[in-house]
Amino acid sequence: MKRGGYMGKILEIDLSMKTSRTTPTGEDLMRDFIGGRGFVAKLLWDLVPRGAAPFSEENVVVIAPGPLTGVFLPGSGKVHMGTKSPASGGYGDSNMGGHFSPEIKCAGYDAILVRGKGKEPTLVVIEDDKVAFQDAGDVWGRGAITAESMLKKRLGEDFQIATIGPAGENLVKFACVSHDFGRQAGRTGVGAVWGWKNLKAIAVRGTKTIPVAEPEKAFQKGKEMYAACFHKPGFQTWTPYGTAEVVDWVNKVGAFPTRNFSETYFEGYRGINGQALKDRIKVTDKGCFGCPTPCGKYSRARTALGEVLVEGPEYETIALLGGNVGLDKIEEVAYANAVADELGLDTISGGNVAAFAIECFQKGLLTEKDVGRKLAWGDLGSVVFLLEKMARREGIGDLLAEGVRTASRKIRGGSEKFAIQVKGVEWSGYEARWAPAMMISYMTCDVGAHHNRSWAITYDVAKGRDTLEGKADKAIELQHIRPVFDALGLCRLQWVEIGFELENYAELFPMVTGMDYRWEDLIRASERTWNLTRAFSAREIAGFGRSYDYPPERFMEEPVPDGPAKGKLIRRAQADALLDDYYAKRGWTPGGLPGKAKLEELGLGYVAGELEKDGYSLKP
Amino acid sequence: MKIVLSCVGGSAQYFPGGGKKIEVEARDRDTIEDMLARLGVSKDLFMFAQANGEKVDLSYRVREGDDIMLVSPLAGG
Repeated sequence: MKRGGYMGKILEIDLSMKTSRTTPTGEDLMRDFIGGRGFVAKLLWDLVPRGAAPFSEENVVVIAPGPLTGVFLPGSGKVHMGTKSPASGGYGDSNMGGHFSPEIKCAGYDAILVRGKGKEPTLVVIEDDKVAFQDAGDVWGRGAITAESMLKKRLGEDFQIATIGPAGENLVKFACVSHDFGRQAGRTGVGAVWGWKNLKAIAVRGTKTIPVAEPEKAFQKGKEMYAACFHKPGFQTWTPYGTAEVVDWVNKVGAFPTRNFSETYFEGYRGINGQALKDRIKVTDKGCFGCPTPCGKYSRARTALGEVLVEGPEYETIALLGGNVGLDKIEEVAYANAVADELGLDTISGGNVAAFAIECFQKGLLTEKDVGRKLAWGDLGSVVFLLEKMARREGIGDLLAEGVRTASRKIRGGSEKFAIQVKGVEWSGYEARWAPAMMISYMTCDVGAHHNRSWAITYDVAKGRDTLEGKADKAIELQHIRPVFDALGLCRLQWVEIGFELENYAELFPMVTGMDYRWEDLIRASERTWNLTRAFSAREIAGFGRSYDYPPERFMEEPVPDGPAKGKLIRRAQADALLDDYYAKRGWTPGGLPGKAKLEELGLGYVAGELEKDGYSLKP
Repeated sequence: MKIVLSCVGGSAQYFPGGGKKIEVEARDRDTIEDMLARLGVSKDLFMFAQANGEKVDLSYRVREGDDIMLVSPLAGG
């Protein structure tokens, strides 16, 4: 059968030399790592020199669609971006929707690699086989959304453009890459690496056709999937509110980030939930490429500080720039969302850092003199002030721009306990002191405290929220399933929210690629990738392992003070029990490193050799 | 009285029959929560429900012939 889904080339860009070249997409790369996140992991392992600084010419940014990206099926518009993370010092990646990813495929590429550093602010323009390096001086310093708008006017509407904002330019450790006026690859500081490389934007235009191995069968399957989407009962409940719909539920189960995770039930949730969004600020829905079930919402909001038009707020933004900083009006959350988007800040980490600073102020660890003003919970002025200071690294913002792990080590005074992060990456929107499966998911997530690799709270609810039994197994299962979507270049929301069966994707994969893979083969590739990303962090961070997997001390020492989860916490011994179980089930060492036998079983024997060079013992 | 119960989304795997429509005997003045309790399914697995296509809380009192669809929380965001 002929090969499809892949374009057959990887584009390598050197910003220092202003050169580009293409190399063939390796057969083993496709076979073992599928695409998207799998390509990011393998290419970073191969191409980032051991010990390279995140901010260095040697560090590489990998931008990878997947083999199903751009193909006729719901949700085929995702792109993965990864780099050695300035936030964690280890493996980092993030993904975003929009239209950037299919455009890369249509330009003829399975991945784009960016190396070096521009001598001046640079815009890379990719038009099929042509790659041009243009001066980005006129958009440098501009907001991410404004820059995209300016570049659209300059280049034309047909270009798909990704940009950074001032936060990326100023090397804020949680700066994001922005696209489509409100879609972001937000996590792990990929935007800061763009900024260090003087890469303000990439614009792509492609006119090629994505090959499909069995076009008639794949088209028929795609049509069935679209039709099924509209008839799934979840379609009607999901689309009007998008991700904001879940705010009430997260409060109900006592997992809503509230005032820097000191509490888990936000009394003002009705002012920032999906109903408030729909009734008070929503203008219309917004979907990504080929999406029949748009989760995005354009909103218009008026506050005392001004009026904004913004895509959002999504659930994560409502959690971290809403309850977690005490804002209880959806208009104010939308305003903070717009500020963060324009500055190019990840709203998850940005909300965490703002909440951390407010708590430090409340506890007297930061003073009005340190900060330049008073800080208070539920005060939009405080939140916007902090976002702007951190994005521009002005005053206290210079320290906050390092993230809560580094900031707390400088501020001290016990602030380390309420620096809510794992591996240097701030915690996303689900507090987990009463959800052990969710807790171990966060603890072991390869990029830091992020929910997207494994979301397991309903498993905790169904199987018992006080028991640890089976929780590590569930986290592992989900950490293999969910990243399959990241490898394929797909959105997973049609599966998790609309109820699409996983078999659909397994059936479609061979039709598109011509590769005789079943679902278990995709899961195997996902497990291989998971072990490789762990190994990457171990190679790059001296002494990496178990000590990097603990939750914040707040979650192990402070019982939840009130609400549905009142009195709950995960004690250190429980965290250790979860880790023991998790490592054993993965075939890892008690210290949390991939075991040699597991690596060899996955065809990663060369990785074991590299880690052993560092003196790591890989015997489980 | 008889009503029809089903479930959409991720919590369907924890629901009798995998979330597909099942016919259930309900008592007078039963709420959806009451019915879930008798089925041994946690109400915390669901955000809300739809009764005959209309969004309702889990405290909704069921009526003869109701078609109730339980809606799972969004898994992520």
